[in-house]
Amino acid sequence: MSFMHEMSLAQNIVDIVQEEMTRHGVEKLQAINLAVGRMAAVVPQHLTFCFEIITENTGLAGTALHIREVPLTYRCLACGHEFTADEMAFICPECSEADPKLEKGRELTIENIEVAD
Amino acid sequence: MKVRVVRNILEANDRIAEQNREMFDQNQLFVMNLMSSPGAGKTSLLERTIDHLKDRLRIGVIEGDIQSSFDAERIAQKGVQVIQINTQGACHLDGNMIREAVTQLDMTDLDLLVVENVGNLVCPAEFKVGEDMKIMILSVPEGDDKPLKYPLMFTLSKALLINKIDLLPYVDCNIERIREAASRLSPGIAIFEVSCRTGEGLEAWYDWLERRVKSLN
Repeated sequence: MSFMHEMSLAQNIVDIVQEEMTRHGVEKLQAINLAVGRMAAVVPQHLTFCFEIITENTGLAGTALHIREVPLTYRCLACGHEFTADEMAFICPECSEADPKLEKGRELTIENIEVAD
Repeated sequence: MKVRVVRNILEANDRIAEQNREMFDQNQLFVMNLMSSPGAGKTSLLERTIDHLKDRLRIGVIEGDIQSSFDAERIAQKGVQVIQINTQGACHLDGNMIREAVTQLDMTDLDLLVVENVGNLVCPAEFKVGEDMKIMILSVPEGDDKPLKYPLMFTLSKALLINKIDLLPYVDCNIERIREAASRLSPGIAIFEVSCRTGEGLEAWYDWLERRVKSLN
């Protein structure tokens, strides 16, 4: 337990990764690649920090945690225009209708694991 | 060599929340996840809501706090079933905590279960507990910029109570700005301007909530 919820996320990452390592008969990892949406309630540095702490003295110690931040991606329901934004968008820059729908930006996904040579 | 995984980091919690939801549905229990920052008025809203609805709905409460049982003691005085969860430092409730807590409740004797989450505008939004809907309180002293600063929680909420409107003459808060941002983040969100201290504006909230609970039962 920790005041940072990134600790629960780090524990979940370890659980899933260990399950995948067993499934694929992998013993040592070089890196874990994550996709984290800009709107997910996650601070990447906190997550990396928590991951380092809970994997200390385990088989995953030293495994790099790479976080790919996914920008907010919208598709306008009025004209179909797709665009990305740093902040929440409410108006389509193409047709000015107030119909953009958030398609990406909430991800909290383990995309793949890289096996050490 | 890369091994493709593509799994949601929160899948374990999502799965437990889904099981909770099935259990609540079997018991015809409507579950509301109540979220806000600390001090926005979650417990005060609950006290008022229980007073008003307890003759018409059987209400139970799960109180989530990092420490202490002050809130559960306040709610227990209202004569309803209440369970305290101390998260021992964790900043949110999760599906597993709720699954364990409900074993201490008689669900067959309830119509509405309110989960009062830990006061926090960030991570409670990411952790489902098996609720039918998320509800938020924002109090006017917190400022009208909060919906756009903490968009995820507002995006997921079905209703927003803007509390402490009796303080509006003393704080710089533009209610229209909150309404506009919340409606954009969560189209169709029900918005209630209330004061849990004076009771102003709460009738509309009681009616809305009662209709929601009864439409399920």
